[in-house]
Amino acid sequence: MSDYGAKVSQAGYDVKTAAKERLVFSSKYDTFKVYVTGNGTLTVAAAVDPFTPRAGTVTVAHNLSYTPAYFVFVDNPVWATAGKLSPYTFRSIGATHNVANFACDSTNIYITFYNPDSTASHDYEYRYYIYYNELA
Amino acid sequence: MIFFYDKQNGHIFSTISGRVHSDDVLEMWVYVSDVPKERTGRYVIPFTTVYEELEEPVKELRVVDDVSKRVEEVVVGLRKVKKSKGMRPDVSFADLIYSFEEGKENSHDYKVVLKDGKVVDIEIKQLP
Repeated sequence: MSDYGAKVSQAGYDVKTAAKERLVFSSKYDTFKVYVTGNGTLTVAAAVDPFTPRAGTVTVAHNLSYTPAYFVFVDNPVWATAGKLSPYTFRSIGATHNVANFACDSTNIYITFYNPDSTASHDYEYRYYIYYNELA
Repeated sequence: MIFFYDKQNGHIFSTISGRVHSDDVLEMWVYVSDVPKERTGRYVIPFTTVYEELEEPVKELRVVDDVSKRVEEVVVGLRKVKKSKGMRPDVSFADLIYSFEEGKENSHDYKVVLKDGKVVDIEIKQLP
């Protein structure tokens, strides 16, 4: 039984002959399976000075017993318009620590923000996707 | 939808999306560094299924022409059926939950109102 399963092709392509690049779905290939999504806002206090940021961490206890694949989207209210989420971390420029870091283990996802702005606190927005797929 | 909030001031700081959650998700927690774990609250928005009762035609195959013995489906009566109209938040502030779901409002601009340790309402945060 090697020729079984379900597949769906893109509009305009015969599902029986379509190349895998033209498939919308095929049970032959693994996919990311969403376990949970969530979002939030973390207020990080003003930095002591531009080189001594304050930090805040969000810890998402995912309740899976393994390290899952995940994505985190965050905004950068210090150097960009608040509310514009990007799927990557941002890093220090020179000695100014305007940073977002993500990490994951078999218990938690950790989302850490550093605020380099010594004049104001900032609200950092984040959205995370955790998948059933194992990362490690 | 699950809210995580600060028990001290009710401020909602994190939200899990969705209406129906697996047991694993219902056991999840989200903590932030400026709120101690013991001060973190979790509130699962209860959703309930809404049903409507409709009248549906009962159809049977009948011979409609004795000569040709032609058979057709004919309506012989009506019956009442219960059908789902989807789910709705089973709370007094349901409209606000819809607004959060549709992105018209941000749940993190709001706080929960607690009475005897239970969430009874949601209202806008007071600006400092």
